Amino acid sequence: MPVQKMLVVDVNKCTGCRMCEMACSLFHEGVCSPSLSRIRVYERHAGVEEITIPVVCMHCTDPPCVAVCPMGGMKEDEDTGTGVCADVCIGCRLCFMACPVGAISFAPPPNVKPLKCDLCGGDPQCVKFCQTQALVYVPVMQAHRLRAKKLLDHYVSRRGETPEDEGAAAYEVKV
Amino acid sequence: MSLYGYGNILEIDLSTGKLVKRDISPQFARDYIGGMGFSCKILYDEVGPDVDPLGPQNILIFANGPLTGTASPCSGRTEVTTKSPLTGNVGTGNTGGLWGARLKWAGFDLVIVRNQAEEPVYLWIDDDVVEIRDASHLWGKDTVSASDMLIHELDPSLPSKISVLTIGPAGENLVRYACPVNDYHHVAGRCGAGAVMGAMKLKAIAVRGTGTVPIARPEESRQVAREARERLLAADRASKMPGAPPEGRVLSLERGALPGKNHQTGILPQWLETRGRDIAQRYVVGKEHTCYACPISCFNLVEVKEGKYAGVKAIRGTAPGLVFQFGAKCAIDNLPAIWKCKQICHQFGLDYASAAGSIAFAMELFQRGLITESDTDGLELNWGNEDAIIEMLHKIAFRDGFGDVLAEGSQRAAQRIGRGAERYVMATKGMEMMQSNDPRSGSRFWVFGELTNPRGGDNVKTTHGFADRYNPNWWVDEFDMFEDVKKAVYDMPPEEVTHTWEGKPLMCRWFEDMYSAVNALGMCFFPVGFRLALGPTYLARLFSACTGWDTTPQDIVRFGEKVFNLLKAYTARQGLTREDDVWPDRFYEEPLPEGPGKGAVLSRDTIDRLLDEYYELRGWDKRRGVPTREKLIELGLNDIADDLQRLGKLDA
Repeated sequence: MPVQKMLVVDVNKCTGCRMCEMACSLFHEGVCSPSLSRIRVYERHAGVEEITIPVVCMHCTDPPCVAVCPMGGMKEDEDTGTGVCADVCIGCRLCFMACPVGAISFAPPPNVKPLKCDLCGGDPQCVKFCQTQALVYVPVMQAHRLRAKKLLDHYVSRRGETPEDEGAAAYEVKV
Repeated sequence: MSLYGYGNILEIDLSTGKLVKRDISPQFARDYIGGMGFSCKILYDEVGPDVDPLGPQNILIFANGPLTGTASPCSGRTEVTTKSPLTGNVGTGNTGGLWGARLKWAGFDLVIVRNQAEEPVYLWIDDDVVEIRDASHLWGKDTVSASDMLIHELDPSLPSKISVLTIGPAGENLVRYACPVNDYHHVAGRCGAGAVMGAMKLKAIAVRGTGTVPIARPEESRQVAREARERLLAADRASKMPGAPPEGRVLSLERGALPGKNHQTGILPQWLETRGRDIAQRYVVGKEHTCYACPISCFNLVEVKEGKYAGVKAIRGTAPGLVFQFGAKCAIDNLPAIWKCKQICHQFGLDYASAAGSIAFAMELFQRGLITESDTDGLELNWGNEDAIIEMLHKIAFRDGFGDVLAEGSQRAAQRIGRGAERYVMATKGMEMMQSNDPRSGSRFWVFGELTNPRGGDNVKTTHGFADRYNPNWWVDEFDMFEDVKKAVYDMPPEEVTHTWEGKPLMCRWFEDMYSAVNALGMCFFPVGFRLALGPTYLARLFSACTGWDTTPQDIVRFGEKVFNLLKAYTARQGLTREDDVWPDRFYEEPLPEGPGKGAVLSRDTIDRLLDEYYELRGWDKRRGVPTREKLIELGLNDIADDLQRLGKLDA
């Protein structure tokens, strides 16, 4: 069955609350621990300004993590299309190296378990805990509208301005 | 960690360099819960009434709650407790950001620092590896530079997961209201913990935590966290719907209750037109960033792009609190200058309410000719003179000239200056008033809590919330509050609640207990007091699921009461009584001169009767305004009851 929905991350909406990390670790591991989360929020500071960026499995169409697993343990899930790891991991870390976005991490030793997002079987917990909708899980055929909305809003909001004010600025998209 | 939810204890002796890690005993956790409960108990036991706050016998405590760093909404809070160099009383403030959560994930809920180092040091907590390291290269740096340097040096490969709590020059120079700043812009304010760190030569504490918080009932915990979060979001939406009360700057002006010019007047010209939220909105450039686990983002970034203050950025730019300080008490008439003052306070690690209060005090003296330019190093401390105020902030942070006088706080400064200056000190229990409401005409609930706050200076531990501001979209039926309290407090037309003293002692007691419970649990009080979404029912469920200890809403209120009494016990031992639950004379003797609050003045009789009612509700001794022995024993504070009795602080 073709994949119906996809996880979309809007970095500009992330407030750094880290609830996604907590929801994930609580759901999968039964404890509150950012290091056991499959989604990671990274931060950068520039003075008082802060940028926080959630990094999570983008569930590639032809997942490299699935392709490289020597044990055949990483399999493409039928419903969600994402690579899902079975219990045969030997800790070779090829999946971790193959991931283009760095979304696979590892549980601390002595575990050899990769921490790999499985979209919670189709009902991702992180999305439920994200108040700003920096994380959304939307139908694949509709996802582009989220991005287009930004530009549409921009044009609609500028309609009231006089021609002199427009010029080149009218075509800039403020992020 | 042996207990569900709780981290362990880290004890540091800076004079010997000894580090000790201990488990938290289940009994201690049960008895004092966490956060302010832990820290006030430890402070009471170790730091007696004669200890010099800047001397080697004072201690510094950082206390998470069991919920800190878990899935509970708004669970990123840490209490910072010490004996205050400003007031000589218990000094306890609360901070957010990520520092506390990371401390929890490193395995600790309590960090106790004792004695003083000889040379500047910082503490590096890297999960279970803890080191005291040389900080001489950081000493003298402002909080932003120190944080940048430390993060880069400890983890040069970005992105890092390190939170830094640090003092700036103000703390290093022992300014009595200096404060530590964590995660660049979160502050445990008001009490001078930064000066204590400066005296200890403890520049900073850096934390990286990658561990786990074991949860007793994970599935339930997740479920309750979600419900609590959704309730909070619903209340948050309701606060923005039509009909909801306007923001603080509007309300205070409507009542003629601005703390204008050191509390001389309740109105200021062009207040909203130059300093209102609509004006602040124009400068917003950044998305809001939150403390750990908070879904409601209480602040946002502003930037001034042109003019004199071009380049100034301030976090929490649209928040009103700061504007009442520099914009009303000191009467600066534009937001960019006000944000510049905030930027300086954050960089130097200065509590902005006490800084603004000390400067406003000096400005009133200047206005009245009690001090002149010869006292103020040539600075013309005229109302609204932003250049002079900005320079004064620098002088305070470095104890330069007249700055050395104001660095002592307005009460001590008045003693040094003499000439009748004491009359113009606007402080409660020794701490500058952080009122955004003048007590004469301000909201009754809001102002009453300033009198009863054991640590003084504001209503932050008591009535800092909107429970009296009628919002038809979210009102009493929605509140998580006991029915009998609702009936007693809200039995009147809703619009009247904010204007009348009726029911306020009970309302005050309720929120004091709630806030104490929330501080002990490690959560933020915003969902409880500002959005009225969470109360004992939700707190009980969150606590039960986390720790596995079945707790009822009544239990929550009871341990909130216990923690509040613990806080009060310290002040009672310090010698504060009913006579200290008082405002400066001005508010009883000088009617407001103008505006909607014109003629308003407080009646000592009225306030006395309210205090009587309050002490009775608390089961306290009305004569001294302190807990009775029976009350302390009822709450399980037997050894404190014995100690206070022995010292003659309780009636027989």
